[in-house]
Amino acid sequence: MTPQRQLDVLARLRAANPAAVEPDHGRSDLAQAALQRIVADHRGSDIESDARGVWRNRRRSPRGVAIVLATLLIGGGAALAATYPLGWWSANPGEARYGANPALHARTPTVQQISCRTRSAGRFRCSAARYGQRYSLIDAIRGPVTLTRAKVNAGIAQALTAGNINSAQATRLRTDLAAVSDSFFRKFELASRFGTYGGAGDVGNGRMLVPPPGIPGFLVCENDGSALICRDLNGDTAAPIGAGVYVAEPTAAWRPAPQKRQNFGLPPGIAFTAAEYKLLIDMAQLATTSSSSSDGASPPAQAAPTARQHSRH
Amino acid sequence: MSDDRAKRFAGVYEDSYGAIHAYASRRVGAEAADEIAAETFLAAWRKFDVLPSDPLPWLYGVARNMLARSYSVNGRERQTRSALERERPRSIDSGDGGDPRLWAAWGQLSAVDREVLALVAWEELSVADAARALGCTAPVFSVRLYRARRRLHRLLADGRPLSPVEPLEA
Repeated sequence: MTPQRQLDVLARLRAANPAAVEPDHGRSDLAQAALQRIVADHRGSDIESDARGVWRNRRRSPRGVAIVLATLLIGGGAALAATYPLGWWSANPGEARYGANPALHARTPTVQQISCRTRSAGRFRCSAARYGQRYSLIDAIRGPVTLTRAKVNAGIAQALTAGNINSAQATRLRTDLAAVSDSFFRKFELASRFGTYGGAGDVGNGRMLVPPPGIPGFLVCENDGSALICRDLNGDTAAPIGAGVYVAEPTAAWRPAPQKRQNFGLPPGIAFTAAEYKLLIDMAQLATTSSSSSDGASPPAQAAPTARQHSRH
Repeated sequence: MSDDRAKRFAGVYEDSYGAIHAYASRRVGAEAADEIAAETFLAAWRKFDVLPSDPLPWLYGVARNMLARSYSVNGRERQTRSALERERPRSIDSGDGGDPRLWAAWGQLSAVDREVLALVAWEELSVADAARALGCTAPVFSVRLYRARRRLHRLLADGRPLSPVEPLEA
């Protein structure tokens, strides 16, 4: 075959181009609307494209930071002030309060983006096909954090050895620890089964978008063959460990609303004493200090627990 | 995020959107191409600070991955063929191109051959840029292009597919 005949093949193919490029297509109304949605995506400021990491950056409150850093120091969690006598759910459409059931386990889905159809009230059948409301995978339901007196003591000793805290700080932490009873650790483990995700519909600059009725901001999903069975995460107090957590992607049907302040709190029936709060706060503060001084260069084994995108209580 | 960053991105977007949309449209139709293009540029926005100075080949590569992913995550598709084997331009299948013999031959080509030819004939990429889009070296792409052109020519000439083991030189 001569080069000329080969060129003829390409020329014939060019002439039959089934979808010629429209140079001004990017300036069309549809394309411009898509552009506005894209640049409104906060994750654009992050180099990291992994949805989990960017979501964490997007929604972490200063209080949440302190909580996460506490886990960095001693592998535990922390808790905050309010209680919710009306139940463990959020009236904020950008939030989901949930509880994990340690007796239930699920394989974490790998599909990053799904579309969902309502199956029954609060329940959805979702797949990777492109229709309906879209959701993106951001996390998996984590098991409760088991904290013991021995673990805290070991964490203090480790931090002291590593130079992350000084002896005075270690002494204060040990004093805090001695002031709490063993019931604190049981309460802590129970509280760590509950969590709050926030930031669905958050478009920045104090604005948020609210989904239409019946569209949850967050779903918890389990594999079901080639599809996923999902339900509203908000108010679900029996989410299986490992189940996927998906956040809704705003569409044109979402409506703007004033941004509501995220309101992390303790689940009903759980309350910490002043001494317990003192321990938790000192743990969080020291974790902040040690993290700053080490510029975040923590060993992977310690950094791993921070890969959660929400407040653990 | 700065307005300047958004403005610069808008420039890239408006310059490249038509090409990326057409690329996706040839493979999955215009409607689904809207989403593929949007996802491609969303990825570009997130990576904007590290985008190459000439982003088009990179964008084609992302769009190609988006297409493959949209196939590969679908259980029914996965059961039958690999993601790229599914890639068939809808408008070609419907015969809109007005060259039935060409489309008949096109349909007999492998997905890899079609992709290589489309990048040059329709996306009008140079060998170097097309190689970047596919994630291979320019020499490798040249060889693939040569073979794909030859296979298409053979199909057009006598409707007989070229065996994978058949010598390329006549």
